[in-house]
Amino acid sequence: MGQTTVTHDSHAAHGHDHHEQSFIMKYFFSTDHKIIGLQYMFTGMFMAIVGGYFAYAFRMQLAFPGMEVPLYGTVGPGQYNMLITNHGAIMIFWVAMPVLIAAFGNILIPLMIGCDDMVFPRLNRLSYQIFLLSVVVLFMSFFVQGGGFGGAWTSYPPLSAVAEYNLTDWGASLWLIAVALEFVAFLIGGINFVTTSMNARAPGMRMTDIPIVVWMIVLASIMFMASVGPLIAGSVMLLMDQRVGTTFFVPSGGGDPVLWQHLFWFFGHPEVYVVLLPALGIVAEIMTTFARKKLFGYKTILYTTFATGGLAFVVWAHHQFIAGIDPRMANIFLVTTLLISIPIAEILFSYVATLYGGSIEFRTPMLWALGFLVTFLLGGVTGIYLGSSALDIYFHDSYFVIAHFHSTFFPIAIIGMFAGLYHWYPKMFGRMMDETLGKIHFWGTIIPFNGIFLPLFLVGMAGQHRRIYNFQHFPDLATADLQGIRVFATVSLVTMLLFQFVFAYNFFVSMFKGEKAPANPWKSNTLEWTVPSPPPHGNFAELPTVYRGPYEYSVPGNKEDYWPQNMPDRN
Amino acid sequence: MILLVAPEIPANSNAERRQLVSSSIFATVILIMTEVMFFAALISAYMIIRSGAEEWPPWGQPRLPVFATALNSLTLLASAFCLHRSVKVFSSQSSQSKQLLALTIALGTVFVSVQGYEWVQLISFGLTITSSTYGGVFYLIIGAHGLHVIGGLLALLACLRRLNSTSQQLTIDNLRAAQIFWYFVVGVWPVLYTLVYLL
Amino acid sequence: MKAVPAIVITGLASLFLHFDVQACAVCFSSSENTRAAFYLTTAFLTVLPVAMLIGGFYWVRKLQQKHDAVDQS
Ligand code: HEM
Ligand SMILES: [Cu+2]
Repeated sequence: MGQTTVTHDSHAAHGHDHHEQSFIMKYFFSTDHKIIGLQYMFTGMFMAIVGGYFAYAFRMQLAFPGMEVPLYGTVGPGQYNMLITNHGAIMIFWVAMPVLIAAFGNILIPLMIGCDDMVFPRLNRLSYQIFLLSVVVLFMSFFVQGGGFGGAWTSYPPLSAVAEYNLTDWGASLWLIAVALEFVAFLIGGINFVTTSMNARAPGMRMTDIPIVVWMIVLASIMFMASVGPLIAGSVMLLMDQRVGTTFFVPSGGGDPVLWQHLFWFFGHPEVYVVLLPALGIVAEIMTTFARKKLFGYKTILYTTFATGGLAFVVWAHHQFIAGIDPRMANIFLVTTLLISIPIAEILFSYVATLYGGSIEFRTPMLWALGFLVTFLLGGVTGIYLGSSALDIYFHDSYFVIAHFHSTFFPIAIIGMFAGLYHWYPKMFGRMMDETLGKIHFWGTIIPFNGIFLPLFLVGMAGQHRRIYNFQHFPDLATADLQGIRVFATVSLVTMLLFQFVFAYNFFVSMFKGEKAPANPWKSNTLEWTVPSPPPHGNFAELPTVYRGPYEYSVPGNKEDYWPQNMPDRN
Repeated sequence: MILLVAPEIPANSNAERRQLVSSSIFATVILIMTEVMFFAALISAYMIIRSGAEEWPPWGQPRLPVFATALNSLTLLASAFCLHRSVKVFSSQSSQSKQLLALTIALGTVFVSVQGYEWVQLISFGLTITSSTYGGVFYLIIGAHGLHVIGGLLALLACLRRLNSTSQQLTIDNLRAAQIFWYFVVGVWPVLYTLVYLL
Repeated sequence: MKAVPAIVITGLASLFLHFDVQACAVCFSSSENTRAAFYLTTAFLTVLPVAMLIGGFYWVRKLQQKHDAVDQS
């Protein structure tokens, strides 16, 4: 690593001239940040389809146990475990991370800070290539003998460490290698994002003129890099347990399984904020644009986010309350866990204050942004209950936890992604998306989403444990009431999945047939809207100079209600 | 590998931006943040696994060569000193700087080689990675550090090659970045040595 | 508003709930050593990144101030 950093630095120092590239060179080996961003985006969306398909298969099994699932087949216990494990891992590591951080980060950062490309373009390409390799390795893990890994996305040892227990000898190892490769990819990408945003800003752009979404992606990258080390160490140890025969995590050989949980959750909790922050940033951009109002408390949001970033590192043991950690330690983590909901609430309040008194336009991106706010609130609030170490004895590993983190992750990874896509689609592809279809897609996603997870809070409180493939084996949980709820959730899921076809249609048809997008369809201030849609290679014909912050909407004395950052005079 | 060397699309203009600090240095510092946490995790793992053991080192396992390794550590520290001198005279006396850089690499190579020899000996005495958790954490931590030494050496070698080549210029910032990484590698060693060999 | 003291007291009292947690039959090595090691490493692992982040924050701020100073002169 040290070497790559050194050898690639001088790249930016000497110029090249422009020449035409073949299709393959242009779209597969490009070092252009926009192309790499799109590569991440499409890979992430493809993985979302895979993850959704897995969810469909196991939800069908829960609602109609033993039934042959259409388009899948029967789901046995081993199959079920493999499906939930990879559903979780894919959604977090191969959907939320690549789309929210890597794709939006790549596309937006250079455009928003007004430069032509990343500081290390070749490292950027390497990052995507490693990511692609991790996808390939993950798929390989499904098809080796014994099938895909089924030890849950948290892969607790000794189950995950010993092949005689998990029965997926190479499946488990390949899964772990895939996850580790993915981390390396984001490590490289993250270094690039942070360095670029600090070093390549347009002249005149002060720290507090950087759009909030760029800040959020930068902070998320920093948090990722400060937290991923322990998990890389843990993965290496777990891989050695699996393949070399060491016993770091195997109690029978003198190891300590709680150690893995320690290393995993040290990364695992910051990770949830790593994906949360970019989504919050995307939502902030959309809200100010469509409320035609200055973002309320730019600096407050910024400093609050710093605080969240720090606090996120001191709460992780709340995932281990009943793993047998010292209760006195649990007590400390209880307090920090409750503390961290304060800055998050503060950020959400600033968003509400941004909306207050604005002249809101309910365009599709805005609907998604508002949907984010409402659903995320529910997830955040239920987290507080889980944060109480006493309550968590009952709630832990129940469907209440499932419903909690889906109410947080779904708004982040899916709603945030769609919000960003609808907002920046004109910039990415140079065409507008259809508004009506976008709205149908929104309502068709948000209503069934709550139809899935609100009932799951109830079954969780009724004591339904997670990671069980057939509740008919448990007399207490096999009642008609509970089964009815399960069927309802599954039907909602299928409805939601069907509505995604509206999106797919809208997305691909608009790409070729949509109305041509102007440079600045939403009348926004940030620099990416000052270049043609889609931006040419090299982004800016003339590199911009920045005169003010990004959120000067409806300023008195201006003719227009927006005031681009690079405009020297009144608008 | 073909992926990595495919020609890239050049940008039509390259932003001339005044950097906060050279990008290569900035990137190295961020990388080191990750590395610090990586080693912090290894140290934690060591402490927890050790705390669960009845006896440390376990009965029948060989003791580590405390004194020989201490001497070996000195070569590593000396290499850091050479690098320090080399960077200091980089712009004024380039030939001396080059010699010092070569000396740094030589000392680093001596360090890894002696470590490797030590491993061979330990294995022949029956301390292997699977012989006990004691052996496991030993090879894990010292091996991870060894890999970092090798990585640092490669970075320094790349610098040296550029110093000798006429087509590619080595800037002071490139050398500084490699220097920071090397300091980190040298800097964690005393911590790991104390933890694994002395305590 | 009368309820506020009651809420605060209940909240503080809940901090003692961990005695119940302690009674919970979860598996853990009874070794005091391991317990201490977990304490120590938890503190170590939480303090380290926070310290680095704060350090990084001030470092970048200093760099930026230097940068701005050049602009002005
Ligand atoms: C506002 C603050 C939040 C609090 C207080 C909180 C609290 C908690 C607690 C205590 C648990 C452990 C429950 C258990 O396993 O028994 C938990 C689980 C979880 N939370 Fe949160 N949370 C918050 C926000 C978030 C966010 C923003 C995300 C996602 C982006 C998230 C994702 C998760 C996930 C994925 C799990 C389950 C992990 C697993 O066991 O598989 N949480 N949360
Ligand atoms: Cu958490």
